[in-house]
Parts: sequence; structure tokens; C-alpha cells
Amino acid sequence: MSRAAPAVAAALLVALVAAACLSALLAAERARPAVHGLAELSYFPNGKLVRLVSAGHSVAWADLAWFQTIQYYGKHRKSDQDFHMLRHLAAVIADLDPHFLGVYRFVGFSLGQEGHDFPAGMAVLQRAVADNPGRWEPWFDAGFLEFVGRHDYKRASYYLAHAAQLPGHPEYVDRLAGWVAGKAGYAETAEVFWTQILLTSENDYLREMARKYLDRLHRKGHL
Amino acid sequence: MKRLAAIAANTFREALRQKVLYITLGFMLFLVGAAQVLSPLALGEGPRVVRDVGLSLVSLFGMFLIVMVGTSLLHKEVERRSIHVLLSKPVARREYLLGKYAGLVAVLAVCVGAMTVAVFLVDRWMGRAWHPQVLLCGVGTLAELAVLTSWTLLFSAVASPLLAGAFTLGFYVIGNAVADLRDMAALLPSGGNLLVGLSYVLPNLYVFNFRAQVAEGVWPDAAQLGLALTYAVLYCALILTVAVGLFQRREFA
Repeated sequence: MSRAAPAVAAALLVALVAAACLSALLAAERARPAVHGLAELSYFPNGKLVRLVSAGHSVAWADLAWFQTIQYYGKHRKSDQDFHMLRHLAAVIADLDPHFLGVYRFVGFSLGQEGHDFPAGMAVLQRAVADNPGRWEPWFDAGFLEFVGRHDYKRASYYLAHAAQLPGHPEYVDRLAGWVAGKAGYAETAEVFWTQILLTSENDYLREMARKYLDRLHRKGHL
Repeated sequence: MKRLAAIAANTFREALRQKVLYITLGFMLFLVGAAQVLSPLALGEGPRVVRDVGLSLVSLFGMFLIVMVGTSLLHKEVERRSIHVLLSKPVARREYLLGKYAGLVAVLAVCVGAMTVAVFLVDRWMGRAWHPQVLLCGVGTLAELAVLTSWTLLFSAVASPLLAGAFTLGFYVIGNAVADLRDMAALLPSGGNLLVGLSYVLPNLYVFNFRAQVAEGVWPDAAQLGLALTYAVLYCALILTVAVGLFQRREFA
């Protein structure tokens, strides 16, 4: 028997135990039931509580919660299209950083358009307006969702007129506010704004959403 | 003053010998790595995420530096008995303690400065316009850490390094939640006034926190910054006076 035999035997034994350990882990993972619904994020703490213990780093915690939001959205987008916990996630982020505008827009449109839960999407955008009354973006988003989601020109006009009065708004806000106020050209106007999102948003999902709605408008022969 | 400066310089050199600058280097590598990894995952919010997390880490790394270096500064000298040699020379205890404080704040200034500049450059590298607000945020963080260091020195003058570290960590957390403490006091049926009083004695570290403003690209108000720095100087003077008083009475075996 060579001198290397005990070492080889030991290495084989270690490899065998490691393989058995890995098999057990994979079997245990498969045996776990899939988590759905409220239980999925039931561990996710209240934003006010996280703010209290965040030791002054609530904005960074909001960023981490943003990653959790993206993960939740991506997972359900690929499976059941059920986004109802997005509202809770947006509320947590808003408690941690009320000025994180990208979150309100993403969650508002995801719930209102893709999730077909208009009231929930609108509630998120209304919170954005309440937390950031001096910024044109949340007013515009709320008006745009009223416009494309519920076709309520009166309410859309209320939000868009506000957006058009705030500093820093781009020219297309004035145009939409004018069009909506005149209750004219729904399809063409919707095209302008979805195209705007398609061209300017850095969020891949929002761009894809815009592309989908533009296709739908073309298919229905509105354009 | 000359003796104080010599002790400060020595403390600074000693901290460098403990390779604290590796913390800064580690931070920079982490930041560049995070910019590469987190940015594509953040759906258009990458630059914001990297800036927020970077600025938060400057403060956290600084706090850990205080816990690692600051809490053992006095203890090591006592244990090695080198403090006897030092204090037998014409060096007042006051000068010794203030020199240690100045040396540690100088180390923090170098580390916080380098880390903040790293955040500033990575922010620019990620395609954003120059945001000098980030640098002002670093000034706020340094003031925050200087206040925390004054408490650490007070704790290490009377307690063991472990306790001093635990207290420092506790003060960092509670100092950032002083406003919440007052909100909590308003909800209490009794004892609320005591809590409000305590909230004015504890260091209010939140006044040095400009991270939320900088995340939005907003400039901290000059008056806000000036008042925060004035508060830092006066508060540190107060705590260091108490620390010197306690250190004067301490007996070394």
C-alpha cells in the first residue's frame, strides 16, 4: 500500500460527505412549499420602525427596500401577475425616504396598469403628491394614470394642470394638460406619453410596459 | 499647545501603524464593486443607490474606526504602563487627553475625506453631473464622528474598551434617533418630560446628516450647516471638559 493511499481515501471520504450534504440540501429546498401571498413578505418590517432603528441611514435602507421591490415585481411578473404587495413595499420605502420619486412612479404604474388595480396604483401616486407637493413629476404621473387608466379627463386635468404650474416641468406636460382639458385626441396623446416614457425612462420594465401599450394602441387601430 | 500637538501627532502615527487606512482602501474597492454590481440591478436608480449607500458607509466605517481605535487608545497605554512614563513628564493630563482626541479626529478627517472623495468621483464616473454637495455631506459626517469621538474618549477614561465600544455604538444609534425620542415622549402618559430632557443632553447626530438632501441633489442650507458645525464645536468642548475632569481624578495602578 503506497503512502498516498490514506490521503486519497480521506479525500474521497470528504468528497462523498460533501456530495451527500449537497444532495440533502437540494432535497430540503425542493421539499419546502412555495411561499405565496401575504406570507411572502410578512417578515418585511414597517417603514416607521426601520426608520427608528436605521441610525440615520434611512435613505440607504430605502435603496435596499427598492431592490426587494424589484425582486418581488420580477418574480410575480414571470408567474402570477399578482402585485398586491407592491403597495406595502412602496409604503415602506415612502416612510424611509418620502422623496424617492422613481419608486412611486414604478409601483403606481405597475399596480394601476399591469396589475389592473387602479385604486391601489392611484393611492401610491396620491401619496407621492402628498409627500412631494412642490415636484411636478408625481402630479404628472397621477394625472397620466387617471388619463390612461380610468379615462377620467376631469380628474386627470386636475393633476396635470398642477404639474404644468410647477417649476422644471418639460414642455410635453403643458401639451397634455391642454389636450386633456379639451377632452380631445386620447389615442394620439397616449402615444405621445408612452413614447416619452419609452425614450426617456432608464427603467427597463417601464420601457417594456410603454412598448406594450403602444403596440396595443396600434393593434386596435387607434393610431 | 506644543505638547498637545506632539501627542496628537503620535496618536495619528500610531493609528496609521494599526493600518486603519486599509479601511479606506477597502471602502473604495467596495464602492467601485457596488457601482458595477448594484447599478444594473437598480432599474435606472443606480447612481442614486451607489451615492446613498456610499455616503452611509462613510459614516458607518468612521463609526467602526472610532470603536476599533478610539476605545482602546487609553487602555493600551495604561496596560503597557507607558502612561506612567508620559505623565511623569511635564505633560498635564488635560493635554494628554486632548492630544489623543485631536490625533483621532485627524485620522478620521483623513479617512472620511478620502472616502467622501471616492463617493464624489464614483458618482461622476457613473455619468452624473458634478455634485459638490457630496463633499459637504462629508463635512457633516466628520462633525458627527468628532462628536461621537468626544463621548468615546469620555467612556474610555472611565470604562473598559468593551464597555466604551458598546456605549459608543449605542450613542451612535440613539444620537441619530433623537427626534424620534421626542415623538415618543409626546405619546407617553408620564415621564415624557424626562425623555425630552434626555434628548437635549444626548448628542443629536441627526443635525449633521445631510444624506437625504444630497440624495435628491439638494444643497444643504448654509445656515443649517453653519449651525450644525457650531453645535458640534460647543458640544465637543462640553463633553471633553467632563472627560478631562474624570480623567484627572482617575488613579492608575
